[in-house]
Amino acid sequence: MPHPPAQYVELQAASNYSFLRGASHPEELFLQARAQGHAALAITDHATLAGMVRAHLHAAQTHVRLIVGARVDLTDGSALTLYPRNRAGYANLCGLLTLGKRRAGKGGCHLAWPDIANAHADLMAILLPGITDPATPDFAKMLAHTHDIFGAHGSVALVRHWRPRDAQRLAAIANAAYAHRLSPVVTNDVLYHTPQRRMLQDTLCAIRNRTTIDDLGVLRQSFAGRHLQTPAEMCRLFARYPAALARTIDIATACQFSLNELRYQYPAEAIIPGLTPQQALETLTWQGAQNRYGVTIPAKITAQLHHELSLIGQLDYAPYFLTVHSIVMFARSRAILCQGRGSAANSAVCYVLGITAIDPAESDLLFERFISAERREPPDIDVDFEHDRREEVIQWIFETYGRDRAALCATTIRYRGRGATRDVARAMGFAEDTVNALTAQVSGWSSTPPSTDDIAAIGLDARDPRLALTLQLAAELIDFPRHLSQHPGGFVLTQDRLDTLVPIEPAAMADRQIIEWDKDDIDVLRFMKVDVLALGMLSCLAKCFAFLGRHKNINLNLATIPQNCAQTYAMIQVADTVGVFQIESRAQMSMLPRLKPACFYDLVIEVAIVRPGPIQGDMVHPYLRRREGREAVTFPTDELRSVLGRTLGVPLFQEQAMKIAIICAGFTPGEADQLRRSMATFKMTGGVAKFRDKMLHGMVARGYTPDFADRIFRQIEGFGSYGFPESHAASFALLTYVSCWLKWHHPDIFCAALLNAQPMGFYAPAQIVRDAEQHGVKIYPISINHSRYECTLEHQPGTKLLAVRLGFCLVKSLTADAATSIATHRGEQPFANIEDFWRRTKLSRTNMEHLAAADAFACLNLSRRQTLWQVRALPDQDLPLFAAGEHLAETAITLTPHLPAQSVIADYRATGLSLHNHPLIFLRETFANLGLITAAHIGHARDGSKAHIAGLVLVRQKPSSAKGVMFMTIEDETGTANLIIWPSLYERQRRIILAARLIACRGMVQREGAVIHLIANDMTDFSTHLDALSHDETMVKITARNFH
Amino acid sequence: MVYAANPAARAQGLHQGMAVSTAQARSPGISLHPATPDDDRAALHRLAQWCARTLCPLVAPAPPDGLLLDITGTDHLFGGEPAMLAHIASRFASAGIHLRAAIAPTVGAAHALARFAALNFICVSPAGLADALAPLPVAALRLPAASLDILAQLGFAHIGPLGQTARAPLARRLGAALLTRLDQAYGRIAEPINPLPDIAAPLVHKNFADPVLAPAAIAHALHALLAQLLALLTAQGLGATALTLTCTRSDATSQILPIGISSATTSTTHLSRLLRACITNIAPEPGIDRITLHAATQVLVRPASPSLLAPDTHTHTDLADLIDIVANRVKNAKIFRTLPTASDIPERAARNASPLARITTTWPPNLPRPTRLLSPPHPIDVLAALPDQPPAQFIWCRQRHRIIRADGPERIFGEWWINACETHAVRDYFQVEDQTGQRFWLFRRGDGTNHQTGDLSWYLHGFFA
Repeated sequence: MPHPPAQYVELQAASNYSFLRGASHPEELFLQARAQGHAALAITDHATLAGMVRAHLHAAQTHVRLIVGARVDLTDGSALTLYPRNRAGYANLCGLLTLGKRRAGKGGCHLAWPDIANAHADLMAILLPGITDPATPDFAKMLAHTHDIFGAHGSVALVRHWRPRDAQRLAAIANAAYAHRLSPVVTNDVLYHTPQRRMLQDTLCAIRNRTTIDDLGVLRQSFAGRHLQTPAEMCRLFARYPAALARTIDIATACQFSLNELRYQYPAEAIIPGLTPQQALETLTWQGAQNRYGVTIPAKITAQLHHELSLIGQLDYAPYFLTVHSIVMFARSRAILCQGRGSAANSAVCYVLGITAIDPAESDLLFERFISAERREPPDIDVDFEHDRREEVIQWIFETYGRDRAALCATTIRYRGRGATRDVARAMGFAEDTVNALTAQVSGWSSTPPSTDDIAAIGLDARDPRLALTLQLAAELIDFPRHLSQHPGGFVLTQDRLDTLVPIEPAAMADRQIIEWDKDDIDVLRFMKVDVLALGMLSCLAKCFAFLGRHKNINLNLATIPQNCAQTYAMIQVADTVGVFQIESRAQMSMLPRLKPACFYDLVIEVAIVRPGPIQGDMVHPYLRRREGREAVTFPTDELRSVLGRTLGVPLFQEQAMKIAIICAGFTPGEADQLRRSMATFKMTGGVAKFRDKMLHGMVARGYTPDFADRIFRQIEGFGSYGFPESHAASFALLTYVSCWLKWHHPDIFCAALLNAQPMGFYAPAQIVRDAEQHGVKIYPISINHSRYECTLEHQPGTKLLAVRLGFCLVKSLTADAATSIATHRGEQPFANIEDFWRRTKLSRTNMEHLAAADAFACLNLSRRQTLWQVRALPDQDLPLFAAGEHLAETAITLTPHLPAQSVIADYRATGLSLHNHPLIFLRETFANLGLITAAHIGHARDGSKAHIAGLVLVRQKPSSAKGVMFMTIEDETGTANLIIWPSLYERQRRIILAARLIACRGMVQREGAVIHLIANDMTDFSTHLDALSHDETMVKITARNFH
Repeated sequence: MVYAANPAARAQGLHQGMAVSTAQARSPGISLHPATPDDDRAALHRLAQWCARTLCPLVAPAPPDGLLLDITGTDHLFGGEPAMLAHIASRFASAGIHLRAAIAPTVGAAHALARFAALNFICVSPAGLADALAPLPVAALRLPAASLDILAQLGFAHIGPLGQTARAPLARRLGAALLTRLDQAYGRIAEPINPLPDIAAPLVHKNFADPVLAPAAIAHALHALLAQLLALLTAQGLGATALTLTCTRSDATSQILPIGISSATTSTTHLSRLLRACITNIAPEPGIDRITLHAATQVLVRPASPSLLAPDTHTHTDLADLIDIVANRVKNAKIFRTLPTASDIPERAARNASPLARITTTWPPNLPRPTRLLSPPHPIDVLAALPDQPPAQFIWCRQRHRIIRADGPERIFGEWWINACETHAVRDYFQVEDQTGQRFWLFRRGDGTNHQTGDLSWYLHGFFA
């Protein structure tokens, strides 16, 4: 549609990236601008450019030109909008915002006129009078500053307020502007795209001011007409100020800067002097290949490396690979375990450089999943590091690349159902209890507010006008950006100063800084990003390798673990996988006996298959059916066999989806990658339908039936947003295999390392310890004369296995300083008694009480109670006059000894586990009388038989893919049992299900092969039995882990 | 946080101190009421007052839910301790209050037994004290939570064994406070009750040997009573917030005259002026036997030593006195002041408030408003150009006003959160001056563009000077 010649350009519009001020998404502003015939629109968010990339995208789509700008509020109360005229001006604006944010700390921006003066070059400015009285000297001062700094590039805004004396005020401002040789310019100070958003804007205002809409009063944005107006209407309203209207065109014309001009530069890596980055990368690559394969590199690899290197050279990505290589080299030099994950494992270059661990010689890589010429998007390499040492890597990056060249990505936190409902309900003046009741009806990630039924369920009347308004406004608020947060590990690194590309703000964590743009924005602008991620299992494995070297003199690492160990796979097949990577969860464990993984590729499938994606895509069952031989494995064509052969004809991985598109539907590799991306959640790309037609037509043209083509497409679509790339699954499967191998061959070491890497994974220390004991590992208790901070290993005469000595890290509430100092003070000389311990360690009495509660003095032949009795006699502070042996003169006191059950409960209370007994042993007689059976019994029960069982609640899980079904794992002294709780039962017995620490369940046994579940019919809270055990009625904390 | 839970809620596993969200997750649909600790304290206080009047004089509230009564010397009035306990139980039951109570020789024991004894009501003699205490949990000893935790860990569950343990080692490990509590429970050291001073309502009265009729005599008596009453109040640092004058006549009828006071006071001049004004309302026939003067009170917050910097206090007091006089003299007088409210809707920009309310917000200075608004606004016929031009003329009361000057529009939006009809409503206000120099405030419903915003009818809403 041709636009009429513009007579007006809106130069002042805040999007909802002016958090809690603007009430429209950037895309809404641009769509409205196009509909109203605007040729250009400036986005001037409050002290941020966070929404600018979105605006940039939508400007391109709507053909309304984006004028980049920002509003800054100065410390003296004046406000300006600033617009870069060119790239240099943009850099100045970014620098200015960075300065203001650094000064103000998280969330603010402190700037004053001198800062503007320093950064004014190549910027246009509009002074915003706001409600300042134009007759005051303050206003004159602001005008003078504006003129002094910007001269002819300065203007003064004329904004209709729709208040009394508007005409006089505008005339006064215009006259004052002329008097200071500044041009008046019309703006409309836009806050939302249509008048209908006024209610939401009022609500945002109340949320921002932490008040209610009723009490908001004068804090409300009181000026009318804050929506985007048509150019014609603006011309009518300001017919008296033709020059001020024309000035909008002048400014728009002068400010031609576009985000397209941002030339991102990789940081130069001068690893090999005298070589270009590409030459350096090639050198390193071929050296790496020889390290991996020896002198003769397989032909397949040579070809692949040539292919990759030429594409990398063509796209100029060499510096990026070098950077990631440097980071990985640093980690190696510090002996920090790391391994690449994600699509990077599709690259042979990444493999030979040691970034990833999947050998391209043994797998079928699809490099285009990683880098494609069509995408023209920088590659994304994600590297996992040991979770407790990742900070070393992060700080090294900041130091090496400089804080002005390295920063973390932002994550835009958006309103979801619960947050929107909570904030709006508060703003609408609902009492806190009602607010809580309302939000309790919405799960955290829901994208809708509570429904009318939900409202009725909590006894509120949905017809109440306020409530109806609340729900309506909450629905509008959902998906609004709320604030910026820190990405878990996404680094942006540049050659030039980063603050000339994007404003940087301090993060909530000390020594971190984040840019204003998130991962998606970075992708659009083709910035390079390295994900430095934390993985608990890598810490655990690093500790395993260290223990192996120290205690068994075996030197192994991730690459040298013996492959294809039959015993390891045998262990996996019977789901004996507590504590290992990925395949330890209840869902994974129930799949293992059916899948019976026997080789590495089976593990890759196992890791990929138990995920929301394949479940949604209706693929697990076809695969399992085929795997178990219950369904024939057929391929309509050989070409499809080549793609899907390894997964029995069922597409499981993103690479397969792409290959089907390439081989069976004639896509180019780049197009296939776009297909994959269009299915992902990233909304900006859009257009799945386009690919669907192309795919179906392509497949039918190659002789597939439309029905088959449609089925394949739906299967691919199903995991579009969740599916793993095969390379990623393979990377993870490697860690799975290594952890399983260690668990099978060195259960002692694995147990100690896993305990030391806590918290991580699915199981608590109690289950890890119990599992190790069942595998013959001797576990020794925490002891002041034997333990160190971490769990350690002790040689046992006569057996090959080492014993695990629990460490002080397991003692609840014991301060870390105290826990680490005990072993130091002990040295070679064991503590003789409590007083000796106290004098040498100088621990506070509170810390000594925590140790006493953990029974750590048992090695002195003192019971918990005796220890506590003596510890309590110690003075709070170290009194020099306190004579040794004073307490010996005391009357002897006989303390009631603990009953065995009390002892176990006390163990749980102080350390979360007990080496003595399972608490349920003491209740077994009672339970047997009630007709309850044990978890071990369930293991032998017939399918369909009735069972009544009780256990400690270990895990509650309500996966989003399971449609409201809850899975619960309970434990008794014989083992664990898995319960399935249907939504109807959950609703009926929610209180018990969520609250019980010890629960009894009546249900029906369901056997599917080796997988046994109990379908719950009725639950009873048995927690009081536990309390009765301890007799003193103190609560035992056996905390279940809740997963969603 | 859950502040209190009734038996039904406790049966569902809800308890005091639990997070509200947890409680709701466990029992959706529970009925939640905001906690009102101040009201609870006041109610306990009233209960204490009732006990002081009807059971025994020495009563102390033991918040949050207890009362401590020193019944020494009063139990015989009820027929002994068990009978008194039964009496108390029945009185509370008839008032619908769930009660547990114990009579014991010591405060500590009574406290412990009332809360932890197996029976709801128990009466313990000095001889039975030790036996009664022995099986109670150590939690009954009024000890801090930290001490209870240590005792539990050491295996001391009941008071009995604890009482028999050697004292010095115990004190060393758990502090002397433990011994104090034990000794208080066993009566080895005394523990006095400290009843609150204002449990008894200030009340003075005068009996007349011969019934009085003459206003002068009544006035004289009132003057004396007021002096007594004020002496009582001043001694306790209290101010009167209301007076009740009760005249008991010789025919056994009585007349009760409430006298309202707007702010707590001990001013003799002010109160006697109010009392004098009251005398005309007294109907003494056939003669007054007895006059009672009773004051409702609150703690008097004394202004800091009078200074020239706080003239405000003075005018405030004077105004309060005036308001009292007017309010007590004019039947059903409605005295209020008008306060600004932050609202764009002119009708809602002011509210009536108590005459002594303080001004917290002011009217925005940049929004000129007529002093008085026409209520409701008068419909008028207007000639004006759409969408937002000021009127050229209007007809009001069959009179034509030609407009010479105008300012506007001032655009005002409906307050959508108050009334759904106002969601889209817009008023465009104009201040206009006619040919005679009269100035009017007019508005049109609707913004002149969007019909949803109003029907374009015009109104006169007020006059400017």
